[in-house]
Amino acid sequence: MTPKRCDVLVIGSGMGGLCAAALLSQAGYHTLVAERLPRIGGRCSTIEYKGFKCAAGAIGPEMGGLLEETFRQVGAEFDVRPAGPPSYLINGKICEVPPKGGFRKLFAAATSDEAELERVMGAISGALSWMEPSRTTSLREWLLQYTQNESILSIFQAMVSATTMLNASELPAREYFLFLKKLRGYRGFGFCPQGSIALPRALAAVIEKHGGAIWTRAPAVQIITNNRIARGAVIKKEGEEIEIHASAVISNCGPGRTVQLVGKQHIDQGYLKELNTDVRAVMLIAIQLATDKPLLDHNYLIVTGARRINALFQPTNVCPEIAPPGKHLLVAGAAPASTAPPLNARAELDLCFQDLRDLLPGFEEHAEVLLTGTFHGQWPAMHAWPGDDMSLKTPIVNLYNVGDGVKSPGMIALPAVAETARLVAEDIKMRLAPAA
Amino acid sequence: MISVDEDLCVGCAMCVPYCPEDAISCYGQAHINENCIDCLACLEYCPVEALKETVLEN
Repeated sequence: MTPKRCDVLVIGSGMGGLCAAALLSQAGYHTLVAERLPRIGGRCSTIEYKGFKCAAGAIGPEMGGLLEETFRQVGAEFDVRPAGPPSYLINGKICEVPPKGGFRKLFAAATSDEAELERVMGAISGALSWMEPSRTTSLREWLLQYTQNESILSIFQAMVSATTMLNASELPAREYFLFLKKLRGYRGFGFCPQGSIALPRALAAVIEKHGGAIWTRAPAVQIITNNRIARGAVIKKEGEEIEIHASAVISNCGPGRTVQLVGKQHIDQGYLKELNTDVRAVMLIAIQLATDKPLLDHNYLIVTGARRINALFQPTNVCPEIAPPGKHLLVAGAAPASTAPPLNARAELDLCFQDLRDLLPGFEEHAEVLLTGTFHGQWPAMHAWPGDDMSLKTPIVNLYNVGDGVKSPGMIALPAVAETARLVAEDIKMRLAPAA
Repeated sequence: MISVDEDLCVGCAMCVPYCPEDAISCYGQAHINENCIDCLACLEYCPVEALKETVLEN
């Protein structure tokens, strides 16, 4: 078959790939997105199951940040209903967090020792307004300098494992404070009434409006390079291998898979070493439950002090459309004891279910388990631990990575991914002109 | 029949809803039960290519 030609070829239709494709097609670049699965969105997608719109991963997109800004910029509908901020469960009691003075209120629920409270507040204030702690110290180690109070430590553990998806003993303290500064702790978020797939669909509509194309069931077989310059890729579609020539290739399938597609022999040794030693997948457990009555009063509850569960979402509170009439969807998130492999999935899940029985009165009578998902390895919560990401550029000229394996410091999840797309789109616009 | 490559399967449960016969359960790893009718519907929905069609000898 004769080779096809486009300006920008995007491999993978996750949110990083689609944001980049939408930004570039709007700027006049002829863009083709090739997705291996039959469904677009990657880990920001929706699976219809027993009448529920279940999440394939991402569930609460940030509102008012880089993601929404990207949608506004390309003219894509951002169909998200506000649901934040989160509430906290501390020592069995609900704690609502005010827009200002949130930390003080949370700690006051955990300790009556004024001196301890001031000590922790002072340390946080210094880290936010003066200098972040070192990246060599975990958040837990950093906190232990100021408090030994298990309730306070468990607030941080729940907060960071629910948002950054690493345990407090794993997350570099520096990353946590950058996260607070850049993403304000992820307070403003919402749920999609049509499921998370509404977001990739809206971007796909923009790409197609500007003459771009999105292929599904179209895996990339190989990224074509010549003298360390990306020339395109071979895409398999309907049983045929099609050579696509492109001025730039954007990979949204994770930095590890990108290297496999190029072939290790073409990649700089130092880059490979960095990839092998620094980049580890973030693990996550998500349990989706159908209930016949609301088991949670809150949209999003951060759970402190449980065995494994760190967050409970009930998106049907604000988006009843995602469940059949009279039914509710409840999603529980958890971080395994260690985010480093191997994952002892069954033991971790057993602990999650023990938590659910304790946390949700009526669980046995009113809840049915829809999906029990563990995310790690090649289908992870994020491709790299916050702070350990690879660069957007690869050793192959005009080959970029986007997504959650190439985040910038302090950034996580969808806003991080949108940022990678924006930076790559800017770089391409600066360096390469679209074909007339 | 369909088999699960245990080294590749991450247990994400993405395949479960696509089985018309409710033949896949997932608790840490996907498991195919005797309801499987070999329709292969699940295969293309596995994000890590852990589901395979295996041909039994004899």
